[in-house]
Amino acid sequence: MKSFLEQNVSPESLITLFSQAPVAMCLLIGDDLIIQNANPQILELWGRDSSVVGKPLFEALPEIKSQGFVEIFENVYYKGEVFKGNKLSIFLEKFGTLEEHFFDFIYSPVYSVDKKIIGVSVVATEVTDQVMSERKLKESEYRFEDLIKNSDYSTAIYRSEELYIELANDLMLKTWGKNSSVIGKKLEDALPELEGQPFIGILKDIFKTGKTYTATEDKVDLVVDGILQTYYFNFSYKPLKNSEGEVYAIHNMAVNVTDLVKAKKEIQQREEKFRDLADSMPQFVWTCNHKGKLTYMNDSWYRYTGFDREEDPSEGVRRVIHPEVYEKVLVVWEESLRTGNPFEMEYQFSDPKNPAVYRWFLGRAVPTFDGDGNIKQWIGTFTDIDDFKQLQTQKDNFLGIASHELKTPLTSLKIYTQFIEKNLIRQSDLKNANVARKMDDQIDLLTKLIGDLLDVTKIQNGKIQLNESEFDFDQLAEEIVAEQQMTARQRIILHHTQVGKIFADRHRISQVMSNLISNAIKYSPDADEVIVSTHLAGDNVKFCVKDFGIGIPKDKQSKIFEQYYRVSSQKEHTISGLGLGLYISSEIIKRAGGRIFVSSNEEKGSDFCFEIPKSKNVQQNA
Amino acid sequence: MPNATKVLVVDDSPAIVDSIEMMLDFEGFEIEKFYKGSDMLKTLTPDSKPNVILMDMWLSGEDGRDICREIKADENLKDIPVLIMSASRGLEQSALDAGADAFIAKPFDLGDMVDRLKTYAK
Repeated sequence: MKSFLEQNVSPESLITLFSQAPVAMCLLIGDDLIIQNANPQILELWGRDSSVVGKPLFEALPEIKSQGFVEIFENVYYKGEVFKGNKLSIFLEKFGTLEEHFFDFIYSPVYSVDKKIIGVSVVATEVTDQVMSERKLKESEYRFEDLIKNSDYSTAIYRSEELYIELANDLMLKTWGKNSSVIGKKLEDALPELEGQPFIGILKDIFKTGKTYTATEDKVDLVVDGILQTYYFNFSYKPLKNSEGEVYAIHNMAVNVTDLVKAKKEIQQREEKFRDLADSMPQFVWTCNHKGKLTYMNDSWYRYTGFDREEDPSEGVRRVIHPEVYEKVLVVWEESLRTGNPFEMEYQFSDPKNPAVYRWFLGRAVPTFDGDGNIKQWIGTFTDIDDFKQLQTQKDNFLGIASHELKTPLTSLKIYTQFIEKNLIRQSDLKNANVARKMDDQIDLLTKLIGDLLDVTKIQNGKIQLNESEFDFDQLAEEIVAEQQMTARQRIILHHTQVGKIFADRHRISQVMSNLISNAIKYSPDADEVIVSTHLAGDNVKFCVKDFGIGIPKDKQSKIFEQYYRVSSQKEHTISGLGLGLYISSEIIKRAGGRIFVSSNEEKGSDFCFEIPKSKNVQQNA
Repeated sequence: MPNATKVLVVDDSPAIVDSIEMMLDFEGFEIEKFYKGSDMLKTLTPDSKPNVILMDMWLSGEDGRDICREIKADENLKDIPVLIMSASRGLEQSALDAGADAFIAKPFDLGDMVDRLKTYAK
């Protein structure tokens, strides 16, 4: 070959070949590596012009001197070793900036005719673009893998129709209850429990259809910790396609929503439980929002009314409620909505089977509050109290009749007793006349008790009526004090302020005065006196009774005007009474447009007062 | 006692009628007793009028207030004082509305009753 070149090819032709070759080439001659025969390609590659020809290499490209090339060239030049660089990184100063370039190149020794090394030949190809794109690909692969590994979602890649698990992040492995040993296995082998579940089939179908599959709150049974357990997932199977559009893998992303689904189911079950509870109640149970819009009525309501469940329940209520009270009920209900105070009212609903008939119901509602104290909703009931009402009416009628009937024999008994008393006085048998007098007092006491029972009945029926007329308040107070003094051991002191005439029910007011004084006497067994006082207080008259008895504990003071309530004390059983007096008194005073109140200290005594308007006009304006 | 005050007592309860009779007799009144208001009404003529009528409100099927209204509607009888008695104190106003001259709550005090009768008998 050499002999052929030597003999037949002119050096000029070799130089032409050299300069026109599509690869970058040059000869570096001598131990200074003087640049000779650098072809345009290598000059471009270096980013230099032809002025570098004739200069030593490290003078022309000083930046490469520190990049290990001194040693490489020495090896080639002095030892004759060929050096092949593959995708080697070199920093070259091109256009004033140092840039990284990649080259494939060969450095070979150049021999003289007498076989001595006289230089180094350089053949190089720039592969920067290739390296860069490879690097980018690698980076994107790393990034993708990284993305999958660090994903907040359980992620896996299944390759080919055989569904080999190519990648599964820790979350997915945890979800499956497996470790990294499943990677590389077929999905059906890694998770044999999937047999009989639809997922393998769905995945294999995607290789044919190329369509993404998504599912929400889907049930999956997986063996985790050795136990087959049910989980719920939101997941997607997304096909990964090659440049030909063929599916080569499936990207699976899943979110374990088991807790959410279970919580939802639990809420649903709980709601069903309470709904069942509400539906099984004989009462009508309902809820409404804070604005009063009905949001639920139980089955009993629909069974009773026969109304359509699609209809606005408020409209249904409006239709069954007695038309005469509807507006009144609305006023009370709206007041409750405004204030948040519990609602309670009795009214009549028409019987849907017989609309002319009305039945009594008790409507109640209480608000429930959120964490900020705002009304969340109202829970209400309508309870059929018609039978109860009828029984109550029967009871009230009975009590009315009974007390009336009891008074009849009492009337004649009283006459006979008084007759005997008069007769005995006429016969000057004063001792026995006094016995008859005491009998008569006891008849009065019995009459009063019967009267109290009758009054309670009347109050409950709303039938207590006041027969108002003008009378002298001071005179009445004196009379009652005198009357009570007759049977009292304590001295009753009357502190008088001239009040004058008032307009009220004389009998009922006297009843209240008697009650307050007799209570004061009864509850101060060890005291010597009871103080009664009358005052004018603006347009009102005030009547007070102060005792020095057992008193009333603070927490009981608001209860003493309730029906049947009796102040408890160690001696309670020794103090007689039905517990009706103050209840009746307070109802009378309320009816008269006044108020009754007490201030009391335990063991020191009580001060009971009532205030009523002096005249009717004032009462009406008040 | 030719000038004795004549009182007609009407009550469906014999015990009441008897006791009142005894009491009024003791006090020197002349008494005629009835168990039904309608029976009492029949005896009333312009020529034979009592000084006072003392009548219960509930008379076993009759209402003393109705009887009272009839008396008060009769020009010849309306000046006879009618006192209506009842154990139901709440009915006082209705008795007065029916024209009764007074209402007496049962049980009553003997002295008060006699005073009332004497007042109205004048």
